[in-house]
Amino acid sequence: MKVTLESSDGQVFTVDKEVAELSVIIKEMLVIEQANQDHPIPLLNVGAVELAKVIEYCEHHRNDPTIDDDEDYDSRKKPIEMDDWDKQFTIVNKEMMFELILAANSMQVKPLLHLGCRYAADIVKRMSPTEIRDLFQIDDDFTPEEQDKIEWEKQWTKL
Amino acid sequence: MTTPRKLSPLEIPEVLEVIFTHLSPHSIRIHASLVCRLWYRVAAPTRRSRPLVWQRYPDDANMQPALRKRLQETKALTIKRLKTLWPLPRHISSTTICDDTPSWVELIKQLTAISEVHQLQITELTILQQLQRDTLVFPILTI
Repeated sequence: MKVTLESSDGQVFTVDKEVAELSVIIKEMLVIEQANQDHPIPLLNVGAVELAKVIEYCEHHRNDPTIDDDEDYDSRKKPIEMDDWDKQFTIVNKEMMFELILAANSMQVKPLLHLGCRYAADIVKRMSPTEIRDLFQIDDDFTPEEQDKIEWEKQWTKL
Repeated sequence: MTTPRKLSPLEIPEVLEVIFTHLSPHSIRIHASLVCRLWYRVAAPTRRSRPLVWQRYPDDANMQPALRKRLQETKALTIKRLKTLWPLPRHISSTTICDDTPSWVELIKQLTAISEVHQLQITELTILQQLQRDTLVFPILTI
């Protein structure tokens, strides 16, 4: 069975149902709208470029065993397997990867979300808070009081 | 009119949570949680899961209220730099302590006082090496 998906910029993709169902959101929508398959499923937050990549990922992983429990993804317990294909897939620039994380998050494609988050974690892993802020243009919004508290905590909790 | 700036994945708490599962607790504590308020908030469970390190026992009176507060959150306490050279067994329970090392007795006294206030029990006390300068002591206090 085929399912049609429509990106935020109006491009329509036709994919196998089991491929689309790697997205928890689409899977749930298909249950609700079983009878009404004449219209493509609109994905308001996902552009065509990203959607094509997400579909490419889902096509490759269509036969993976499904993991329902979020706990299973916790890398501290068990690192997720990354095959050569995944490694190849993640050779993209940071901007593209961040778009993919957003797409995976809004479509709830959990293995892809974890793949992207692992990529992001690898970037920030060895950076200082200042370096992280500079790279990602994040404002330091701590108040002076909070800064004091943090300094204090640091004193008592340093290794 | 300007279009609203697109959210970065690093501004979405659920995504940050997933990213943090791929970072070590150490890295979250010393780097990620200090980036901004949102990251600090998302990192809170990791920060709290770590036992408090009590470094200046027992002569720092100022830390007592803070220590209590922290203990309520973590239910565990790590004490560093206990200055004594008396050997002790590796595992001891609070009831078997009859060592006359003053600082040791004082430590237990204080721990007992804190545990009474919060109705906690010293269930386990692990000594990682012979008690001497800079020994790490891990009393685990539970409800």
